[in-house]
Amino acid sequence: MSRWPIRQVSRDKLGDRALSDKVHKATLHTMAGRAGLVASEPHWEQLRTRAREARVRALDDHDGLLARFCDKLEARGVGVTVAKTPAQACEHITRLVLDVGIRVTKSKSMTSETVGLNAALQRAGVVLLESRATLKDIGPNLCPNLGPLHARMPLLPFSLTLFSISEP
Amino acid sequence: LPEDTAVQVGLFVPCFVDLFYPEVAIATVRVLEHLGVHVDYPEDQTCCGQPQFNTGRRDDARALALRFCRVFDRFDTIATPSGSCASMVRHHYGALVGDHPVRARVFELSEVLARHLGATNLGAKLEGRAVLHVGCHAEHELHVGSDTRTLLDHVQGLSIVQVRSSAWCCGFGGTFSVKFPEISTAMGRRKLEPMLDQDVDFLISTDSSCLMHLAGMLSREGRTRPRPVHVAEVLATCVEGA
Repeated sequence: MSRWPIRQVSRDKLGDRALSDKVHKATLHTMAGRAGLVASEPHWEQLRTRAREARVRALDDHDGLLARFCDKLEARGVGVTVAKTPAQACEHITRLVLDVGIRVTKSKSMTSETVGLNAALQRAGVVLLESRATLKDIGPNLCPNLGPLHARMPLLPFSLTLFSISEP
Repeated sequence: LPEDTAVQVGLFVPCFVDLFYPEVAIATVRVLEHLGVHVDYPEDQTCCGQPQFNTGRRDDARALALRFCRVFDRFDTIATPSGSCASMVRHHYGALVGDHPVRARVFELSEVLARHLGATNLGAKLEGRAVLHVGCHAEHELHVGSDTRTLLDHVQGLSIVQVRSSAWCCGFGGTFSVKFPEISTAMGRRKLEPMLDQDVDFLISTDSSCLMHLAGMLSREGRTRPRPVHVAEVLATCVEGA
């Protein structure tokens, strides 16, 4: 069972017409952006076909590719641990971090958000500074209580008028 | 299509049409026969395997794809009144059966009529205003939207109305509507709103699956307009008594 049951959440949120309008507008905006990109790339369909074939090849041989990746890492001296659950992943990473110190700079990643790594590190007393690569990544800073959604999606429910942007 | 007089086409009838809207298959046969095409319906055909493919059941999908290729292998041209199923065979069978020659011989009905037979004015007649919904696969994967529009532009008495939602997805998405019925329905409702504002008589589509989704919502709201109609049914009005 997911920690974020999408059926229930979507059912609840669908009653919010204003939010629904914003998601719809954002979707159309994304589609228009994609259409512009497609129009600018003369070999779009060929590239898309190649990408699709690569994806299907990878899916068909997922376990084999993963094993090869791990072998290559180990050949270069990298230690590889396979975690079967989010809890195992958090436990292992926390142990590695605490072996070194408690002040950590961590890059933003959706995988770490999904497994709840930040919370696990903070529970262990780690002082965490998370890097933000781009402007869109400031979403969780503005709305930290909305949980591990996609980095820019937390901003969607709000209207721009709620924020005052000051020049640096 | 071969340039001889006795053009033969294999007819692939998608599950939705077979089980819910057989009149669409009958209309397809009438249109093709009206143009002198010999239509052959292999009775051992089944589902193309798209629901299985889209839900990750690759082996089940492959078995159906192999069956499809075997059943339709004897045809140079295979016509189907569904952009979704045609696209499944043409664009996604590669992942299941590789480069099987049957893949490239499957065409959505508008493609067969407008591109291969060069028939744009069939003499069809339908009085009223309509919104055209070209299914996502037909529009974005097969690029048949312009063929469908050309065919409908020649239907006497029919006026195609452009609404804000004309190009939007109806929200059906096959198994998507089963996994996420609330989102699917919300998308359909949003699709219908601008049509209802325009007070159109017909909702015409290339795909019965999209029509079933939208028609279900309309009927549950007790609406009798717009009336959902498949492109094949519109074009079949060219035949006396259709």
